[in-house]
Amino acid sequence: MFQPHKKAKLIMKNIMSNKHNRYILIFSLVLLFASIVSFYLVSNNESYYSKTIAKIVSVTETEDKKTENDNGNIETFTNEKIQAVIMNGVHKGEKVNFQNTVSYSQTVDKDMSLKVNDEVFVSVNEGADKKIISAQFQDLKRDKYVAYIIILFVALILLIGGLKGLRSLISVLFNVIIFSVAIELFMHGYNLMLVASIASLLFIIVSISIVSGKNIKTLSAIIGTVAGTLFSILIAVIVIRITHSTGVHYEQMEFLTHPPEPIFFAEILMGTLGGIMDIAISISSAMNEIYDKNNAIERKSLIQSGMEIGKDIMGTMSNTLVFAYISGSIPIFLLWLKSGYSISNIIDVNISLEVMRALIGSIGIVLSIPITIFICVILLKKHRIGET
Amino acid sequence: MSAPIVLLIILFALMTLIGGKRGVKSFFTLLFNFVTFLILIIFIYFGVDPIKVTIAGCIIITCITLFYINGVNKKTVSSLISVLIVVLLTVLITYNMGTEARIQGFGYEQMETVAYLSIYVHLNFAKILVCQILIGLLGAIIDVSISISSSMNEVYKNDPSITKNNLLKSGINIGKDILGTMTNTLIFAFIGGFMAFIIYFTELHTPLADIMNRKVFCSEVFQILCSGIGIILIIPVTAIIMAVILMRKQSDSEKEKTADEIR
Repeated sequence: MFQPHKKAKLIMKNIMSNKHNRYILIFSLVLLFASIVSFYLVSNNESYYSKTIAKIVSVTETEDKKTENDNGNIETFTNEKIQAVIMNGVHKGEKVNFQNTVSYSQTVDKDMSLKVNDEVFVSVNEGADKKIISAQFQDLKRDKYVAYIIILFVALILLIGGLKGLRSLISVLFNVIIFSVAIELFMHGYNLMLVASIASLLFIIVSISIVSGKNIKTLSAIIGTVAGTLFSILIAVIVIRITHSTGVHYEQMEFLTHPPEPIFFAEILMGTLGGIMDIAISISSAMNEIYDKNNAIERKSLIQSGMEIGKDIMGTMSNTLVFAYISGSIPIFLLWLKSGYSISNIIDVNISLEVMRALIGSIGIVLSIPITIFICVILLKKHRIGET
Repeated sequence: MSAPIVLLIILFALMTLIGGKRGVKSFFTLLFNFVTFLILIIFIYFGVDPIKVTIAGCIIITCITLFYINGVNKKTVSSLISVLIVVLLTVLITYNMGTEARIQGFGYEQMETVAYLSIYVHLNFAKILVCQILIGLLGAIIDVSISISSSMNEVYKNDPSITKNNLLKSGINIGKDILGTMTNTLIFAFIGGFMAFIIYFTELHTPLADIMNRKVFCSEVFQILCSGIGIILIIPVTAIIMAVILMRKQSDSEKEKTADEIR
């Protein structure tokens, strides 16, 4: 039953590939056009902003100053005298002058060195005659850089990934939409954990279906991911409850406008998801492949090859998650060290949440291996009974 | 006992139980890598150039991850070379773009976090940003690279007479399959950290045009997309390097064969 079907598919593929080439050509032209248009739009969008934007025409550096602060850190400061032209609003075309003090580290907020041709937001003070008296530097206009990196990413993923790259992009897009709807629902007062769980379920179904199509492989990967995520979150909740949150320092979370615990759990839920999904897809597609090649394979050896694959990917995958999580804490880690905290204190307190996230994610990855194998075996067995 | 310690013990138990010997090795790789990460930070703390330290750190971490678990062979050596190339490429992209966009350090919204800390510490935070991005994507590119090179090795083993072009093609095809799931892994891992901050902006009704220009938002987007770019770049790079390495070995053995025939 299987062979002719596969052959037909192959022939179809060959016919399609000629057309594909033409599509790809048209597609890349459209893409090129789209990126040129968006490039132009973000480079010339000053008139759409209500905030005053100025383009810097000259920078004169004056004196370097050295100061020593409390923790024995010596820092150099530079003063920049800046002349800029206003690009939008009623004062368009007028010249303004302002001062900018920059430290060597350029650590926080407005502390940044400015260059000629930079576009910045400024606040202007007007006199009685609506003339500009003085101007102050607010922030750099960064939208075009965001656009550049997005264009670079999209172009590369389509260039190297082709149609599969396009699929990944579509799945990313879907996930962004689901994510924003979930945040919107939370804003309207729905329970965060409930919203996050439903969103995660949708993430899983959408991403896996788009990546691997409609088949048994997809089904077992979806069930495996859901079960793996559920178990790892369960373990996290139990451990945190049993230890009465010892060593969990919610006070280290940033941007808090709500109680931290539910937000932390929602973050863990979404963070673990991707890694578990990856493992579940790898294992279920490999096991399907093995089963397809040898329908008579014994259950025991099928499980064994699944475990073999799992052992192979477990290490590098948990590595991926650990680095993704701890990388974000590098700048703050350095500031703490420079402020006199000890390394052990920083690990215990300041980055405890990142460490927890990485650990829970890795636990989820390891757990999802046997779970996915178990589900694959059950589904494949059922499938075989259905076939014969 | 504190929650992180309990979780660490659970992870060790699970890795041993499910992964056996290789599981234990994976666990220790994680620990070694974490220690390397700490050493890297200490070097930066003492004022060594962050980018040089990071590149050295990346080489050490990659060597530990590849050679300790999988041993020294064609697969791991070609992965090491590819990871290095992509790390250098990413440095080029992120350093230029990151300095231009000035997304180093902390944004206005994070003032509370750094309120009691010294912020004038004489460290180049623009370079530290590159370090942050590289470390964040390192695990992912190692993973993708070793998957591609070991699959290509299987392909080659099954059909040693395969041409270089076809081997390259199959390598890229394998890479494309991994691309989708790997971008998902990273995107979700970062979205996890993104959430509190998106809620924060939504709550304050910050207009989109404003958010687009904020340092915090831009640096987050940069980190996610640079990781994505790294993952995309590692695919052709690994495929090419692995094809070259496998084929060089092949032509050597072919030469030997012909030499034997002549004799």
